[in-house]
Amino acid sequence: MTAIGIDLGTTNSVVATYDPERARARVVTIDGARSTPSVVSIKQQDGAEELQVGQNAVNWANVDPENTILSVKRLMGRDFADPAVEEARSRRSYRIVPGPNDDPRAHVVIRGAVYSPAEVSTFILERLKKGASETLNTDVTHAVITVPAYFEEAQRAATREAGEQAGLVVKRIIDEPTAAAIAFGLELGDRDRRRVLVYDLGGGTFDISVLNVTRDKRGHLHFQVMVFNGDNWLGGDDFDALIVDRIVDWVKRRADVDPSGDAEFMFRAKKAAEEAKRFLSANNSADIVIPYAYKVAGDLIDVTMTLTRNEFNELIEPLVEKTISLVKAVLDDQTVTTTDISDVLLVGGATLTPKVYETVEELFGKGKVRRHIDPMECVAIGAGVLANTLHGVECQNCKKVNDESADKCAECRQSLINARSAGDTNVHDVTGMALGVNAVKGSHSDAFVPIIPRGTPYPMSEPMRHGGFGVTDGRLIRVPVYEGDHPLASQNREQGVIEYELPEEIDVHSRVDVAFMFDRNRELHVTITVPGTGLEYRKKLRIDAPRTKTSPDTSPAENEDTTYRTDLTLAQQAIANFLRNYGEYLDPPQAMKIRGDFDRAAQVLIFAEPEECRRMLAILESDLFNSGLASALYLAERAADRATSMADAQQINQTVRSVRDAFRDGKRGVVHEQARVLKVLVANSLNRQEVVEIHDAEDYAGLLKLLES
Amino acid sequence: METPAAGPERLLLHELIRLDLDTEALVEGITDLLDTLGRPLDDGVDTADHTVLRKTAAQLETVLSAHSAVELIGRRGELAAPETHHVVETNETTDMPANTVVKVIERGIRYRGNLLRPASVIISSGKGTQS
Repeated sequence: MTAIGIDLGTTNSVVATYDPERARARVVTIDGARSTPSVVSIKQQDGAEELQVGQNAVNWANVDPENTILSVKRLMGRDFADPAVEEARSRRSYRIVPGPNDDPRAHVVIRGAVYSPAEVSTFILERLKKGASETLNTDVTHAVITVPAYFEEAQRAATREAGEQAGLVVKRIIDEPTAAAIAFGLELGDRDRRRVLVYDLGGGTFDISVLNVTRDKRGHLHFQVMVFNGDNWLGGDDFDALIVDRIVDWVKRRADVDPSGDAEFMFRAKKAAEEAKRFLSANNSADIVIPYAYKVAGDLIDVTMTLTRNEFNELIEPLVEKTISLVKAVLDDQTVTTTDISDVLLVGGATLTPKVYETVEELFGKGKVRRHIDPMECVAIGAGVLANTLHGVECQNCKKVNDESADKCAECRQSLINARSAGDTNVHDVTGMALGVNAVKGSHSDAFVPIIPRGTPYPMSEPMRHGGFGVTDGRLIRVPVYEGDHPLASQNREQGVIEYELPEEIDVHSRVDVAFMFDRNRELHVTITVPGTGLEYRKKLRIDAPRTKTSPDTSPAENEDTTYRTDLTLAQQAIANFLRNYGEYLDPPQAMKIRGDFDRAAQVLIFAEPEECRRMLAILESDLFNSGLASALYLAERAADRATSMADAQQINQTVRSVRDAFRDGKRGVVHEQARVLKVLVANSLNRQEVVEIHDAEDYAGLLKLLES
Repeated sequence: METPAAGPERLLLHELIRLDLDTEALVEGITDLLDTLGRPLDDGVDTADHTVLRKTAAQLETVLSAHSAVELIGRRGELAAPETHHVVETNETTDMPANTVVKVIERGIRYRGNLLRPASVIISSGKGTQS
């Protein structure tokens, strides 16, 4: 068995391995390069098609941009209607479409054929496996693959599937910040606890995560990602672009021509910008010299300019400040200050820029900021360490160590689904978000009932059960599984649906229990039981499988289309009210985006394509519910209107007034504090909204109802 | 995380790697210079030192090509391939067949069998031939 760690990145992927005996980790070069572009295309020549992966695909991207897939990671496990997919569609040349057979997930089109993002990732992983096997001169069989902390179960499942399709036994899918923490080798004493902030500024994305790292009395390290935030479209490439702009401006001033439309000039300017950026990391000024740079009136002009580090720092300051604002927002969200953070890990190539690490050091204190491991390789190295210190899984029954690919113990035939990894890594994962079901709570059909709480270590030794459900629709039981922390199911992310019909012999008024068990592969085993009858229905939720429609409505498609259109019209009105009443609480870019979405919704309504209506509806809903303080106030005032208790309504209204007053007076700290209180009040109020009985069971379409809170 | 092992083998290995990196940087630097000198010649721009330029460029090319471990990639008229050519732009007006190199922006380099960098080129889309 040869195992590698893979940092399957948005822009580039890196492979690493580790020799536990010599305690030595190293990056595995692929085709002589330490990183491989995460790019895939299919080249067509003389009627034959040829798959291109990595640098070859990059080399050919300008020939065939429509069939070159970049940054497929942004699409992994996401629905076509997801705003992140919408953003990708507006920035990419290739086609992004919903999946075949009503699969709502985003897929991509290459040369007329539809591929899932997992399939595209498989191409990349196959290349990495083959390249690593060539470099190491042995067949690579096992891997630990990293994913961003914000990846949900569907996205993790899609990544695992991609690894398996590439012919790898996936030993573990781990969070990138956890891998970075392993690579940085944080030293913890017994029962020591650290709160670590990972600042990851790559080429095109920025991620912040806060991890709790603890060592229990048995010496096991536990990593829990507490919170994450970031910007999917901010990275070191933006720094380069600013220098390129400066070079273009220099030519405009000197020669009174705009060279930005000339691909040849822009190629040289980009190369010179990258060199200048690197040079400025160690020097106070860089000469940018491009001889014979641009042809003007039959003559070639040279670029000869100087960029000082101070000028460069001024250029990138707004971008760096943006990252710091996001860091502060994360800290505010967790009600922690910089003094509560014990370590800051710098990850991603852009953190090599002095302005970046100095600003982070200024915020947290120089002593806390760790940058002794190559920021471009530390995630792969952490995964490589884990890949080579995990040695199979230990059967809980007979203690035999089995290969990770085994389902049952080779010795005693016991199931290995909840077996723990064997090896001396002592790294244990915990769930980053709660997993639960959408159920009817009182009259509220959108309640989220958590079953596995956030922060639960896994694999779990036994299932977690939630009892006391009743059926709402004859014998049909429909259990939509969600992941998230919001009390409303619709505000969390749907991960799949389980449907089951109670057998005739079971009384439809019976109590139903639902149990979840999360195995070592982060796959969810769902069990529906009717206590006292012996009935037990088990199903492993294949989270990334095409999902059923959210409503089992069997009415003709035409009616469904009309519903989407009506819903979109209503959502558009809601957005108009939202902008009018809460616009002052939006950041200007946020407000601009929402106005843009409002205008696009109007266009969509003209053409009334049902799929477009549905997609636009999701975007408008996201605008309404995910726009920070404005959304918090919007939700609060609606929660107050429908509160069943006068006290609840008064308390919410009072807090809303406090937030509005503090905002008007510019008291940012008070606004944050009161907004947090508001969230709790709204959640509590929604939880209390119960009715004695379910009036119209058919409305709930098979959802379970919670008989007791 | 890297724990360097002590011993003469390790030092020798470091020395060899350093030499390799130095040579790669030298070859890349000379090739860049060669590209720079070739630019006004390729573009047919008149300069006072045209002859000197041409001679210097030719000398550099000879020096690089004579090195047994160095192979320069990228010539006008050859067929581009993703393995060795990075396409910066496609030209739709030329009547050359598809994927033919119309202009070399930056030469590619293969050093000791490994591709240091692909040739950056403008190629023909082939549409001019069709029309």
